[in-house]
Amino acid sequence: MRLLRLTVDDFKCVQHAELEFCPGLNILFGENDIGKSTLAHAVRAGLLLPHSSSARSSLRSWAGGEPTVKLTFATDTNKFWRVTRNYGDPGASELRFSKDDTAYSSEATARKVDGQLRTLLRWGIKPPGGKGGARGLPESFLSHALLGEQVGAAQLLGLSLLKDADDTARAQLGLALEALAQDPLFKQVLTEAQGRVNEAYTPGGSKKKGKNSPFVQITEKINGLAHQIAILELQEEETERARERLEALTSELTLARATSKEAAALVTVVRARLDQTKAMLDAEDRLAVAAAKVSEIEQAVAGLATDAAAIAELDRASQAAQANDQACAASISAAETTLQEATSALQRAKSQSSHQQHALNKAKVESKLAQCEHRIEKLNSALKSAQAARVCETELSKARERTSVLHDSVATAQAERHALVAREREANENLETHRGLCQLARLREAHKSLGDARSAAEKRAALLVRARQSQAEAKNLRDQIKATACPTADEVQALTALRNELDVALAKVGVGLTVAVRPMTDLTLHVAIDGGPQQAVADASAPIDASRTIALILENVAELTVSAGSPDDHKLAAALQTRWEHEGVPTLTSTGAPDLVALGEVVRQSQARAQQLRQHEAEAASSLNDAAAHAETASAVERLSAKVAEREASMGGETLPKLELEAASKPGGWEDTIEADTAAADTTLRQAQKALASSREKEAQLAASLEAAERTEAAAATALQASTEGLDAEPREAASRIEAQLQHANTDRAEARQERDSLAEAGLAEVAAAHKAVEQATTALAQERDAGILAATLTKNAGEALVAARSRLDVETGHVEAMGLDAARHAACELAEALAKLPRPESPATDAELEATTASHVEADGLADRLRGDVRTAEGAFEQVGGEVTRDTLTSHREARDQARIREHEIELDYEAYRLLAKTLRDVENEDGAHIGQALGSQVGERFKSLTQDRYDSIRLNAHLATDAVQVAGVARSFGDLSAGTQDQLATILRLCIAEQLGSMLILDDHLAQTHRSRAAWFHKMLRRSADKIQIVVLTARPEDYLDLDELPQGKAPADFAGGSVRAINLDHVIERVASGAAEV
Amino acid sequence: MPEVDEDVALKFVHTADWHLGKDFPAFEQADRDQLTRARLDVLDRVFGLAERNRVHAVLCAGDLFDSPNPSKNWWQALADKFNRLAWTDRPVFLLPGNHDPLTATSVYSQEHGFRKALPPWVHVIEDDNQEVELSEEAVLYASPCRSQSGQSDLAMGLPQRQSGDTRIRIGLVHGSTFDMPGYQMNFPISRTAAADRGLDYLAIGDTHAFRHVPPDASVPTIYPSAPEPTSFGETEAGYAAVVFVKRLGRKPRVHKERVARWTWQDRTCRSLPELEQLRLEDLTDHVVRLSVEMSLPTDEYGRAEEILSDLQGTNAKHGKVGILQLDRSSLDLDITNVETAFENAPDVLRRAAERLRNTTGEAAPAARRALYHLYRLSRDGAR
Repeated sequence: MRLLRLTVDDFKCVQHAELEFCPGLNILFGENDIGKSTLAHAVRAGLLLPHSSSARSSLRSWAGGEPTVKLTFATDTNKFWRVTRNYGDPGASELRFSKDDTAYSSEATARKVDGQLRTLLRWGIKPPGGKGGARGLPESFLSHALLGEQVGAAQLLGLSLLKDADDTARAQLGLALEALAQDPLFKQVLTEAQGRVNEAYTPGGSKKKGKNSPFVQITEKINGLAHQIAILELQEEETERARERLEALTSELTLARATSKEAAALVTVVRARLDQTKAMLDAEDRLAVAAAKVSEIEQAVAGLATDAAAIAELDRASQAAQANDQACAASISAAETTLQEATSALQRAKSQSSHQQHALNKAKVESKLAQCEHRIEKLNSALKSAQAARVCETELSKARERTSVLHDSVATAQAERHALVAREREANENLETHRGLCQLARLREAHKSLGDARSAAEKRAALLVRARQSQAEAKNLRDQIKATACPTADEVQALTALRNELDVALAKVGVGLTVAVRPMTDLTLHVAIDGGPQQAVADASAPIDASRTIALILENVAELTVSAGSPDDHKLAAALQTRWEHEGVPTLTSTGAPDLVALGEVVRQSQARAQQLRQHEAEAASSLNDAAAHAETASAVERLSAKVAEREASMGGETLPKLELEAASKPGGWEDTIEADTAAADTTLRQAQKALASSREKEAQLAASLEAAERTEAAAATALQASTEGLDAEPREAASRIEAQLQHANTDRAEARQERDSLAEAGLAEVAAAHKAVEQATTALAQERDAGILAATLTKNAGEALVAARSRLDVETGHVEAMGLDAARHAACELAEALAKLPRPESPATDAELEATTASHVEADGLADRLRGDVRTAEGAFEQVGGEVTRDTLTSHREARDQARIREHEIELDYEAYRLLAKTLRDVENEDGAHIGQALGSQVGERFKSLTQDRYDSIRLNAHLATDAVQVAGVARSFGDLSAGTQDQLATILRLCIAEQLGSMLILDDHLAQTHRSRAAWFHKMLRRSADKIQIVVLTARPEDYLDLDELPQGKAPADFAGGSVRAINLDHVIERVASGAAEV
Repeated sequence: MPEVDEDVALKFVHTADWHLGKDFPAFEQADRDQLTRARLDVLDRVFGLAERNRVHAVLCAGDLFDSPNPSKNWWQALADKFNRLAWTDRPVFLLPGNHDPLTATSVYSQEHGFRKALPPWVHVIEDDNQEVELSEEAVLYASPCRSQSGQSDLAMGLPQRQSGDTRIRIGLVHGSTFDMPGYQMNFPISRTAAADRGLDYLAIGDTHAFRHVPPDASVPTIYPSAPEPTSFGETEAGYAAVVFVKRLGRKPRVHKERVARWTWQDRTCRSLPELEQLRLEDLTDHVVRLSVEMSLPTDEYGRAEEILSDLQGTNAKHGKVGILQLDRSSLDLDITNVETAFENAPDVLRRAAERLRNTTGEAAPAARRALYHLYRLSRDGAR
């Protein structure tokens, strides 16, 4: 860096100044108080002081006006900067940039100017802003070294890089001085390592966040992949959900189809059973009809037998009538004979005796006739009774047959009912079992839920206990941390630095001293060495040695205190000691640490406790979160317990073991189907109940019919009994016999009447009787003839009745034959055989059962249809998801992410390794004395040795460039031991060396004012040599120290020498001071 | 060798699963580009196979693009390849698969630039059970995928052979046979579909390995594999099938032809000699996933690093392995006698090494790596 131009207006005592610098040595000379230091101040302000700083008030122009500084400088051959500051109110700053020092463009304004300048300078001054920034003109080791003020020039020797606000100066110096490091291999390794560190970390040690940062690149890659993976995982979940839904629906559909198929099969089975039942019933009906027909035919056949018997009777009657007719013909013949005889007798008998005999015979015949009449009447009555009995007997027979059929039907219905009752009982028991198993399944489920809830409650309780333990441990640790009042690592580092400074300061005042006392008179001497206790001096002539102080107490005379080191060192040591007492000791006391090493250990322990505290807090929070996650489940314990108890109570004490046994006998997974099985059992029970009800109804109907038939039978039996009373034989036989008797009786009556009529005539006279006999014979003949006619009529009628009866019999026989008894019997046998061959249903089916089964089938079909629709919808949804494509992509992205993570770990490990390596190298180097201090100390020492003509051996700078000691004759001395002028010279040499190493301009503001001319001449040469490398601006009131006499400019214009590498500027001609009057104001 | 049997009534190339445009995110960008590009380059060898065998047709059984909407780079490049071929009498049939299903907006839709860029002898299967006469005595039946997932068996949907139909019948569908994982959701193909449908050959695609399904089937059902493998663990990938169908109902002959450039391998080296041996192999056209699992002292560790660098290559030099995916997380430095490696080093480096060696706890792995870097940089700097 080098200065090009400076323009100052209204800046303190300078109203206006404008000057241009050469790249080498610039000697700016002028009288005292002309404003030389003001120009140096203006350069410092231009580079470092923000326009809004409170320190701007010190820059105020003595004559009023707003202080303005315009400074142009270069940081490279093609990098030119111009900073303009206005320290008025509100003030302004601007930084402009140019590549050719001609065309400038604005680079920054306001506070950004300071940020950019400090970044450019790298002098260990932080950009403005943030906490802890120093007020006023920012200072650092390098700002002092390169722009140091005139007053306290040697103060630089007491400074170091330690107090710099950031490491930029150290880094810049380290980099610049690495060329001087002792070991080139070390330097090479460090450069390589640092180069790699710089790729990844900021100077502050943070990971770089720019797009070129290797961490950012790999992290972005991982994040990008993670983002894509998250999206793909969502798509995969979507696919999985769609697949599961489709699978579930397909499974349901399969099940529904199976159910539908089963229902259809069941319908078929029930229908078959129903058909079988109906076929059986139909066959039974037809068999009954056939049996009835057979019975009817058999009755008709029986009727034919009766008719045949009647015909036989008629035939007998007809034969009897024929016989009677023949008898009548014989009677007629006899009557004709009788008439001839009577006629003969009339003629003979015309006497009294014959008439009397005839009256007697007539009375006998009348009596016989009356007996016949009575007998006939009685027989007619008996015949009626017998015929009525026959009707009753037929009715009774029919009634009995009917009753018998109904008995059979009732028995069948009862058997059917018993079977249905058993079936219903079985179905009921089955349903009860299923219901019980349902309850058991629900109970088990409730038990499981309860178990889960209890487990969750236990987990929650354990987590809460763990959380409380973690909280207690955290509290304990927090209390420990609070009780320890442990400082932070930064505070310890600051204390360590303070202690180091104090140790150095104490070392400077502890250079050693010896006092020799030669008493001139008798004195009692006491001495206190290095602040120790007073002690009597036994041998007053012996020298007294101490490191820092010797206090001599001359009793009753005086107390002398002799101290080593310069007053400044004492002040510094005292100030540091005070600071140490105020800052370090209380900290050590409060922590109980005996020293800083122990304090460091305490801090580490505290940090470890803090780490533990965070872990415990995190554990507690995690446990509480986990407990909260279980809370809801755990809270259900009571409800679930009550639910379980309720279920157990509802199931009863005895039922549960039975159900457990029942459940044990079932295959695994029965709980999944028990609901459906129970519904099926319920359906079966309902079907059984319906069938049973139907059967009972049918049985009741049959029972009613049977009862009616039995009543009819009883009535028929009663009627038969009533009608058979008085009959000595079966009605049919009795009727036949009575009819025969009746016929005999009629015959007897007719004979009796005939005899009476014969006798009636015989009582009159023999003549009359004869006449009568004639008449009777005539009458008898007529009667006989009438009887013959009657007999012939009867015979004819009997014949006709016989023919008619036979004709009827023939017709009826034809009918009976037409009815076909054998065929009917054959048909009945066939029907019976067919009935026997008919398949018998396992159980009779009813229309209601078929209806219920069909309804189940329709329902199952409906469900299958709905599911088919759902499956189609799910298939449509499934086709919209990513499927295997998503899975493939997800797999490749996961592999990529895993690879990237491996790479990330590798990158982090590698850069961490480089960082650790660079740090370790620096630590080791610093511990060894550091190459910076060594390199610079070597240069400075050589020049100082040359300046002082080998009076001093070497200069020792520590790692922070603090001047540790000056080596004199092999003994290390504090630089405070040097004279003020020598200190200035040493500080100037140090400045020069630093500026040379940094390639930076250097402002020396009369820093050699106390230098003897001989040494000034040395500097004269030294500065000229250095001006070949760097720009030096010397502000001096003694130009002759730097310029040869012939180099002093004569006019206003600057004078350049040595090929332009030396420029002399007479500030009397450059600086326009504020008028003296104004200055006084 | 080209088939010369005069009884051959039909010759065709059966290929599938090109996956043009497929990305390989697990690899570095240059390797990704190379692998993606290889999927297009291999088609020249597939088409060359068709020309050498003078086949009558080329059947491409789906997943020709990795997505239904590939970038223009890929579909334009494919169309350009076809246009350069100028096969007027050798039709090519492109079948949409589950990766590149036929939709209203996909690359196969009629309005898409790809369709417009295709020569007339390149046909896209866009109808269900599409029937195409390959010759007087041969016919092709094909059905496209219309979504990325599906449960329908496209092969079983093809029409059955009618009695009296004596033509050679070729089927072309995309999906998973019943023995493949996840087949239910990925257009399942019945193992007996070819026989059931009365086909003489069923050309299918999806699986990236060359397979007869089942191996002893009377009618060949073939996965020709992806012409270039797509991942490690894909055995039998990198082929195309050349199929010769003879008259008189004899079983077609299927020639499995290698067309891939790249061979993918998973390798693990557990000793330095193994690593040395690997270095001697010709792995130019190999994609190798190498896991190095060994703990070596500094000098051998350095040698291992050299070999790995040699295998992997640098910006200035190709590696001996075509594409290397290196997992060196199990390559560790054996620090038992590490101090001997720094015997002649400057004191400051020796002390730094000692400090790193003694680092324990969480920083130990980084310290061991740092120790190796220190060794390497010191060694390189001392040369």
